[in-house]
Amino acid sequence: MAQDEETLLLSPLTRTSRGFGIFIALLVAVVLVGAAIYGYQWANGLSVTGMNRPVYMGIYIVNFVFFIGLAHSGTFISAILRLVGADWRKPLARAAEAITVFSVPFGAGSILIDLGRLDRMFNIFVHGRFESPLLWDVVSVSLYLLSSIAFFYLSLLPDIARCRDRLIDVPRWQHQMYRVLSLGWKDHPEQYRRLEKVLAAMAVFMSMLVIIVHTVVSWVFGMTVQPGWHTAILGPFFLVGAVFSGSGAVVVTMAVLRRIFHLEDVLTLKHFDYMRKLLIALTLVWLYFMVAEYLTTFYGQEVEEMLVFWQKFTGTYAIPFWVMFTLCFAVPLAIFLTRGKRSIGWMVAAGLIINVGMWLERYIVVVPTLTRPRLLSELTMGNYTPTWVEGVITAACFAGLLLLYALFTRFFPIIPIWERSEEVEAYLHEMEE
Amino acid sequence: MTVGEILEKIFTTPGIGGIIAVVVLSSAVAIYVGLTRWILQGGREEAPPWERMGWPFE
Repeated sequence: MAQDEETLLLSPLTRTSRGFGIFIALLVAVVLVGAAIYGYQWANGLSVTGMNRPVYMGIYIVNFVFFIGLAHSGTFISAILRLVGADWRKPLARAAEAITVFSVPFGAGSILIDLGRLDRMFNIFVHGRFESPLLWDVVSVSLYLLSSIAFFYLSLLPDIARCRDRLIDVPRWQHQMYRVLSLGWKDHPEQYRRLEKVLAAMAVFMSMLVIIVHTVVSWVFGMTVQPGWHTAILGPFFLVGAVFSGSGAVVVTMAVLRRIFHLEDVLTLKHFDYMRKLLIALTLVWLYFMVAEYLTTFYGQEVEEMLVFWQKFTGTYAIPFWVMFTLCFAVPLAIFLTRGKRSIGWMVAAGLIINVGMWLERYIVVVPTLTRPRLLSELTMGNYTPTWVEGVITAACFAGLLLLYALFTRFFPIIPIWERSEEVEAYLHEMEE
Repeated sequence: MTVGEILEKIFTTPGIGGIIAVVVLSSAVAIYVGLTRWILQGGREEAPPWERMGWPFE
């Protein structure tokens, strides 16, 4: 890698623009408002939300599934593409991994927000029974968070050391931060060899983990006997949706970073074209699961299942359902096959549209079933409309994710430098021989 | 007690789930700390990793 390119990749770490400062201030304000509203919810209980009996899960659980799904993009781009030797993933890997590391806490946090009584959180450890899918969720999501942080941090380590050695003019506290976080990395060839070995092994583990985590997330619903949920296809369907929305988010992130940090030579049109092809495949796989799921239900004609089915197709939830279908399938596919071939702007639009569609898809999975649960009677029929409290807290979660991401790009190189270094590649090649 | 009964106890006894969660998560932390130490020690000495790593928290 040329010295010029390294300078370009490190340059955002040495200055803060006025626009960036304003953006951060806005995000902090939204997060603080969200925290205050959460305090209001804490003081008044979950009655300030739209949740009720029998609709005991609302948009907090939708957010939980969405954020965990979003997180899978990092693992997919970084770990799974590493395993199949797709070198084009290298410049995208860290941007995607950062989405993982910063999304999972908001996913897990959404469950805590949904608890109402946060002080009872530890009861799951004290009184937890392992037959409960909720406990499987706690274990798998926490393990995923820990493993993602480890994977992310290890792959970042040589670049933190590079910041420590090259960025002399930064404020003292910033340099001190690099010194502490680099853990005394010496740039020794043997360290690189070991790092590569560990990352390769972790890529296998992370690939398994990503499948397990989202399957377990789906089992929170699938292990109940509720109509629309109790189906074996729910796990793979959730997983495909997760990678789909995550890949859409990666495209948006790539385009924003390319624009702000002038990375036109690093994140080229070729990378967007690879993502376009990947997203075409994911759109079709998502459609396959969608058809398989609903066609099977329709042919079964089971009374309780059909109540939920018609709620989605023609009933109360028909508008969000068909909007979701259009946003997840028709619009993105049309973009990918036409304008998206040549335009990054259209790709960004498709990425955003997919994510709005996938959030709605999670809503369509969670809420309609609870309004028409099994053992239906007039007393158990329900309705759900999210309140402003849930809206503000959700906005704060999204703002929090953006805030952490933006701060990360301000202090750490978002494009892996060491993985693109010819010197490091030569070390590794020499050692292999 | 049969294997089936033992498994049933593991799944249904309150608290066991919490213990499993803590064991899994703390094992993961220990493994990741150990791996980080092993990577950082690269090039400093030639003894095999299992001899020089020691307990991760030493």
